[in-house]
Amino acid sequence: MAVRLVDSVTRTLIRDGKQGDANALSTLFARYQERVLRIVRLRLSPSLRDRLRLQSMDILQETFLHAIRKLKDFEPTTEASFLHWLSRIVENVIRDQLDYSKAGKRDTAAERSLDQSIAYASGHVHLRDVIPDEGTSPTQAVTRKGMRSIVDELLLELDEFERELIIQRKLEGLTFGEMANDLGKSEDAVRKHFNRSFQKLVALAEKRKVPERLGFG
Amino acid sequence: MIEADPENRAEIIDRFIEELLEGGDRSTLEDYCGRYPSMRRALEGKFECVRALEEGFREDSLAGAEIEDYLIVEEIGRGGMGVVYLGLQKSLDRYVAFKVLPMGTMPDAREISRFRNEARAASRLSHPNIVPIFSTGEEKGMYYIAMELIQGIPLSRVLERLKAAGREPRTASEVRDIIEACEDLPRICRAFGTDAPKSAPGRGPSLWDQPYPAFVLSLCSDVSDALAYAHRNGVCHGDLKPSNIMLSSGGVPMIVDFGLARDVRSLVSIRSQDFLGTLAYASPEHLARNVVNQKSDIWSLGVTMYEMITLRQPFRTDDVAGTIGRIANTDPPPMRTRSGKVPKDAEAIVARCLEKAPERRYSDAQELKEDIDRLLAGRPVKARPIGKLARQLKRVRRNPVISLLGAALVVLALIIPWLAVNSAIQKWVSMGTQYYDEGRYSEALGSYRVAWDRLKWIPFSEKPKAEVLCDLGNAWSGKGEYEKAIHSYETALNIDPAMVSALIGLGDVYFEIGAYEKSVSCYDRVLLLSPADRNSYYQRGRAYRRLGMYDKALKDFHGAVSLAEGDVDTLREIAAVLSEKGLSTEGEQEAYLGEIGFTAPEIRAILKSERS
Repeated sequence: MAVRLVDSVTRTLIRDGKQGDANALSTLFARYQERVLRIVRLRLSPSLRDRLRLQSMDILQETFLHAIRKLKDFEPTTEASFLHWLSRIVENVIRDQLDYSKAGKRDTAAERSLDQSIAYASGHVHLRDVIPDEGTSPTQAVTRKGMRSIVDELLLELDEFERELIIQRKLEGLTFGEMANDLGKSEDAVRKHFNRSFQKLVALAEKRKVPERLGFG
Repeated sequence: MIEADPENRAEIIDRFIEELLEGGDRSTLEDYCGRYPSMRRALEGKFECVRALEEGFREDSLAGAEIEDYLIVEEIGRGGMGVVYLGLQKSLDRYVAFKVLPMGTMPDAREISRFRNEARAASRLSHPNIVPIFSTGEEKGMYYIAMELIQGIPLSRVLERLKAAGREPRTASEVRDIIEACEDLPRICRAFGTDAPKSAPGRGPSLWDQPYPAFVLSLCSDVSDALAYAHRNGVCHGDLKPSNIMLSSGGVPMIVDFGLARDVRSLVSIRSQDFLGTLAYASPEHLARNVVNQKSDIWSLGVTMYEMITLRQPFRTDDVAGTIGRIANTDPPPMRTRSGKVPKDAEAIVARCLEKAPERRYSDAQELKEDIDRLLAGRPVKARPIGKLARQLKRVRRNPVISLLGAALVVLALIIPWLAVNSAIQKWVSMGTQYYDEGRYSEALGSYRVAWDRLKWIPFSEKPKAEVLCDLGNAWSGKGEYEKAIHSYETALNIDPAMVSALIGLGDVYFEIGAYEKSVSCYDRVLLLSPADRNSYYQRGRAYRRLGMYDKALKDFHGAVSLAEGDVDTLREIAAVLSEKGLSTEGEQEAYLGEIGFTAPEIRAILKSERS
């Protein structure tokens, strides 16, 4: 897998964002929101995932901007390292906001999200304002979104560690070296474990007839 | 040959997947299949899974990449012929549309060199209604085309929105609103802190005040002008359809993708949904004979015009076979039944574009343009308006017997003399068939030729003509005069491109003379039209066997066996394949048949018949 450097557009956006350019930040958000949201969604537990779905898009954007403001001491060189860093931060913030068990820590965003879910249940929120859930139908299967969500369904059948390996390697694009560093294991062990997880994923894909559903084969 | 025990097989598959993860591709698959032939099916299954998974992981993989002189910024569109990105050409500091062709559309060296030639020819075109190509190239097996960035949206997007609204727009201004609402280039450019490129000069404000049908016609006049220009320069489009016509925010239609999709087989290999989308605009001769030329471009523009005016596609059904059948055999419903405001002459122009026989369409795109312009100027058009009578006649021409009752009163006077001749011809035909069934081919030939000599002068009798020509082909073939047989079948197919019996006859003759590849392509077409034709599976399998393509042969034989169990000929062919592959023990044979997909009872029956 070729290492993809952070492209010059992203670099400029990050630089301007750090200096407080709100336009640059919202553009950065537009560029990465979908990929980050996908990664975060895959890392959350099923109940938190359900709760995330009821959040308003505004909250996600706020979270995202908050994360990017933390970019002070971080100078990403590769796209993978940027993506990994960003999705971790967004995940943590979202987890904090969603986790009702953390009594007393509920901040205003969480209050609002509760209001949102009530409003949603009573039909006062427009669907488009709510974080989209990537469900699939046969016609959707040929679209990119549909393809992703079919693959995500499979990923959710793996155990947490297997899923994490595949997220890091395939969605964030980390090298085995970077993964080993992050996971505190040897590079060789990570590589072997990743291969096994992927083989398991292939077997699942075959069982669920994924190529046929996506129009391959 | 290395044959693997089950444990070993699992290891082989794991290793195979690992190699695919390290960047292996189709050649890795072939390599493994070569080493472990009995595992081909399993390996192919895994390969497809990995491919599908990778597709699901692929994020905007090119955004941010730098390819030669271009920086890829953002995906702006996606379709059957590839993904389009907003690109920045660094040396000239200008935005471009950067189109990457889908992997797998360039299967072999011949296709690749054809792509290069076509792209070179297309890049020389310079016309206000053709999107200019800046450069083309390839990097790591990826083919790309950099072209001018058009501010606007494809006509297909306009159509989607109009169809969703559920009624025809009154004036063109509604189209302008759609373009403004859908166009996302200005948004993307704003996000990157630059100005969107200035849009090309439009056609003046009065353009948008026109009634909608007149607006559509004026667009089509421009498109046919562009086609005429390209045709004069020896380039035809081959895949003209609304998604390949951009409508700029100034209201100027611009054609993209000249000469990219030539081979109808390359269309078939694309996902079935895209194929249906493309198929709906393909001409009868494109589907039947894989021919694209000026006339087929005119056809495709006719379909586009019909759809733009009525917001419905003239031939589309829900499935491939149905759509092909309609394209080959059925006139589209008159536009006026679908939309109240269609001028009679517009109906005539579209109908002339949609003549099944290429020679009855406009002779070239220039003639079409002139006719549209005459209509727009309020002068009489050359295309004959089609009244109820003419429509009936057309139907009778194609389908004399069925249409007779409905048309009886209207065209009785015309039909009576025809009927008289017809019954005489019918006698000769049935006499010929009787001879043919007895194996007396020379006599059969004589009778059919008498029938043909009378029939060929009679107008409105395309279908009987095709049938007699096919009979003639059969008789020639019976006599062993294969060249004459081929000529007869091909003439029949010129009249009716979807004539299954002629396709079968032609496939058989090609087989007899050893032209196995041509034979295969005939049966391909038969099976597309009639997917449960056992005999064609059997015949195509035989042809594949002669070509040494044993897996494909066996798959076809499997198809034949599942449609007619215990068929002796097929079993014999299967046995021949097994022995040609050098599989002598029953174990080997069983494993191989299993890989292909034969069920256990089927395998038992095959092995049993082989023993006896």
